[in-house]
Amino acid sequence: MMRKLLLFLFLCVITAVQAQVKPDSVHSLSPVSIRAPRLEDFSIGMKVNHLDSLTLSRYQWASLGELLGTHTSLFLKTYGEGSLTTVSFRGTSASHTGVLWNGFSINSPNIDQTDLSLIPVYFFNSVEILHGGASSLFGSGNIGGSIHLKNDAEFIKKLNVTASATAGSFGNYSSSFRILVSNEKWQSISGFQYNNFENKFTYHGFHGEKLTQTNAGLIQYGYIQELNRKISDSQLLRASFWYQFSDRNIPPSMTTTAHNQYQVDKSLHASLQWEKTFLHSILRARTAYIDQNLHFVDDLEEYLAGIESNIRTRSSITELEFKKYLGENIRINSGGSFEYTVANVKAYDGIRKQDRADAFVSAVKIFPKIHTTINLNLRQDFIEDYHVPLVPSLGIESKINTNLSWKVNVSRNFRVPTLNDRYWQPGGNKDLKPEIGWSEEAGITFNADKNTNFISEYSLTAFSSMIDQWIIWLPQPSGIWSPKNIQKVWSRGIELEGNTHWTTGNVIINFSESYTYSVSTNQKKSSNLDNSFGKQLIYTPLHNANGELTADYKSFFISINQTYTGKRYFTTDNSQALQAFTLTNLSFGKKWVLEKHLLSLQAHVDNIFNKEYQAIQYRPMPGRAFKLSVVWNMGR
Amino acid sequence: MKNEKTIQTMKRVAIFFTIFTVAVITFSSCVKDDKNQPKPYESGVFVVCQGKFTDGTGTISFYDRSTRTSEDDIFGSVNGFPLGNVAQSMEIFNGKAYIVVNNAGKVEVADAETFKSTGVITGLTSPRYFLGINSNKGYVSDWSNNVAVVDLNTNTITKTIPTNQNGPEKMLLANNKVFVINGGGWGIDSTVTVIDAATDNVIKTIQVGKRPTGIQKDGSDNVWVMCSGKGFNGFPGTDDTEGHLICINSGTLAIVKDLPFPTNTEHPENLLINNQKAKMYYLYRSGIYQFDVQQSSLSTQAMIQVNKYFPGMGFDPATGYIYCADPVDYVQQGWVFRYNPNTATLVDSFKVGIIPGEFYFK
Repeated sequence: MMRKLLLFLFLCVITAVQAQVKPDSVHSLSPVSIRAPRLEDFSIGMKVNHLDSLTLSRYQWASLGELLGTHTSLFLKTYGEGSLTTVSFRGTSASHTGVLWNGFSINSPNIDQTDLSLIPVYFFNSVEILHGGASSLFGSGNIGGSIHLKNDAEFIKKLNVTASATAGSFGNYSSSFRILVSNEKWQSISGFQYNNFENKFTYHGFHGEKLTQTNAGLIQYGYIQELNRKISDSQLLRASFWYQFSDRNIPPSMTTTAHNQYQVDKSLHASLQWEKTFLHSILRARTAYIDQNLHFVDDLEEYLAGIESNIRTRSSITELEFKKYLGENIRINSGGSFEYTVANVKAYDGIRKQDRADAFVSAVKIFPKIHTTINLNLRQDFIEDYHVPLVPSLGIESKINTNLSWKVNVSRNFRVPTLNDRYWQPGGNKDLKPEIGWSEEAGITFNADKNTNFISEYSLTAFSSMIDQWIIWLPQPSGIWSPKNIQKVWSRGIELEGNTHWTTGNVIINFSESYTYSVSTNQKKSSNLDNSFGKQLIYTPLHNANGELTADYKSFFISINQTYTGKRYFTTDNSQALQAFTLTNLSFGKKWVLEKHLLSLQAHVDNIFNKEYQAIQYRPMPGRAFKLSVVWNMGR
Repeated sequence: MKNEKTIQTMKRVAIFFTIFTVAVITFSSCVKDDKNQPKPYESGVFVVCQGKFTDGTGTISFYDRSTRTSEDDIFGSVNGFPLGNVAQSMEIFNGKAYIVVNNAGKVEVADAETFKSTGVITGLTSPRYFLGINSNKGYVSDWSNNVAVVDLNTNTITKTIPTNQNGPEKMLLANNKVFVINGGGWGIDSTVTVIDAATDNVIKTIQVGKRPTGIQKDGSDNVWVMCSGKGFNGFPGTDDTEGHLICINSGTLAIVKDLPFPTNTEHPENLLINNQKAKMYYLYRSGIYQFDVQQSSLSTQAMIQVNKYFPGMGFDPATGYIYCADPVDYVQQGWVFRYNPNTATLVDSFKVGIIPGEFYFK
């Protein structure tokens, strides 16, 4: 394995050196474009969305889960505000969603998922969403799509302080504080965020009686510190530290009795990045340490059997990457990373360790005359005990005219089994193979910009992906559950997205909408009785849509947001389903500016029509809820 | 256009059905008097379907032997509310169905013929099985290591009998004594608790083999206990033990027979007994084995090789068939297979609710 890796790295270096030999005539490459990360530079043909800063600023009180639930047509699986929330793309599962912080995966190595209710929107000024598989860029698990979080560094003289407090229905309070100090050489961003939710909402029981949600309270807080240093015009050093704590009770389902169940999550993320730009190239070295700790207690189980779960994983990831421009129209990138994970889980029967290494190379060529860009990415992962194939992706983007462009992308994607899949006792299966498959997509983008006062863009994307050796946990003879590479899942569909931004006089109107249609079916029978063949995967809606209309008038704004979540089957034979639901939220606010100070008052009404619905069977969700936020900002 | 047409058709159908229903109700109310309410569940097989774990609800499927059809979730459709999370078992006693709902910590009580809810026993922790003792009293085994005594007139718990053993499960009444197998719950156990049914006192704790999972009474009032042994089929562990079939004299409480299974890698489960209380059946090595209570050693050959695992099995006294529950992937509708032990053949199969487990034959 090592030999293979070395050979691959050698080839990458050769490519880079050869590239340097060639004389080039690039005159002006702006530092910004040179510094563009892999996600921007080598995702040609893929669909990448940026959540705009205005939306981020209006959802400062929210978790990433709430933000994505209201602003994308991704499918959000949630147990309620502050409770476990995961997101899935294009009919795949939550374990097929990559969540990356500063370019490092923060998915739990135990389950390959990230609980998005534990990520405050407030901590990041950049949230990017990549739709579709990108294993060739980001490795294992990036099959359905990925979410990329970071703060952009900026070196100008600035002092900016923000404090906010939010009070909501059901005894929910949150507050946050951030201070940003920077000059030409340094930048420091410190953020603190605190939530105290009682979640005491009422709902109707099976006999029509009014019930109050029990055992749903939680306390969450987080701290983020970023320290950026511009060593010289060509050298940059960035240090980031992010700690997140959550202690939450787990409410019962409507069909069980309440007993004391709670979960404490503590996660620590630290990263150090160094980059050096040359005339036409950039060298980057990055390292991260991630420590995730989960403690789950069920008093009943503890009383009956002394069951208490303590799950701790620590990972360190180091990556080296070199990007080179060969003239204006060619850029290549190569690099490799090494990851080491230690898991300390009682159910794993001892400490488990895992080594991973990978090497990747990418190339982009622009054909200016035909307004076309071609991108090839290759990545080879080396993971202990697994044979992982080389994963390529090929993307093309082309402009037909100023208003119309198209793109296509073909990629091979994979996911290696999680630590739970391999080691959980009883049931863990050491003979599992990685999930593997091909994905294709094609899209067109149409923009109807008239002038800067009217910006409008619409895109339509069709996608298809076939993932084989899909892992599911199945009960084995004796009733023990064990993961098997049993399914083959074909997901296909379309995504429609639009955004119109219109300024007229003092009024700014923004209208955005997105819709996903995804058919995701199991293409393999586990036995001749298995009726799940050809049926839609559970908790995977066919239709998901979202729309938001915002109007700003001078210092006022009003916004209406609507999400539609289609019918979701919860049995694999599609014999039973949960009803579709539509939620409507209203926000409005006003801001006052006094010299350097800005005070804004925002009101939110969630679920304005007081709709009773279930996102997951027998898990009650809150009805109409009010939130009032005060934000004070001082900056210069 | 197409839609409009469909709506038109639907309307016509709806009108037809309304008229039809009104006619039927009018007609039937003329013919029958109020006392003769339909008793749709007078005779048949009740299949206890656990329902999806964590967020689901248990259901009871009802199988009509004469029409060979099954109806799912009779409790939910009659009462308009779900049973609750994980329906573990069901017993009919004194004309009432007692459905034990494990994670909901309750026993739902319904009229055994109409399945209309008549009450609920709450205040249990992790209930498993119900056993009727007399017209006033019933027992509920609970994984909180006790047996709750229930006043059947008020559906309230009057006291609890601590067993001091892990995971009390199935219970059986023999010789005025209640035999409770302690399966271990989330741990391991290897005992049978004997309770005096009159005084509710524990008389004795009998040591049997590891992980008792089944209990039956033969024609001579002997109590047979199937001990599955430590370990799970397909997941061998280093300290696994072999299963034992044990016979206890219900009078003296002495173990009169102890038949060990040959290996510690395969574990027997599901103990059934026939009408004559002379032949027993169990699942072992993916086969159904037959055992005559007079036998002095275990059968070495399966009666029927089923090549399947059934988490629940039952013997139907009316047909003499063995009913076996197959939950498929545990996330879709399950199946019940009927085997004829006399001819050692598969009779037929029918679809039921999610995760079928226990049976009650009426």
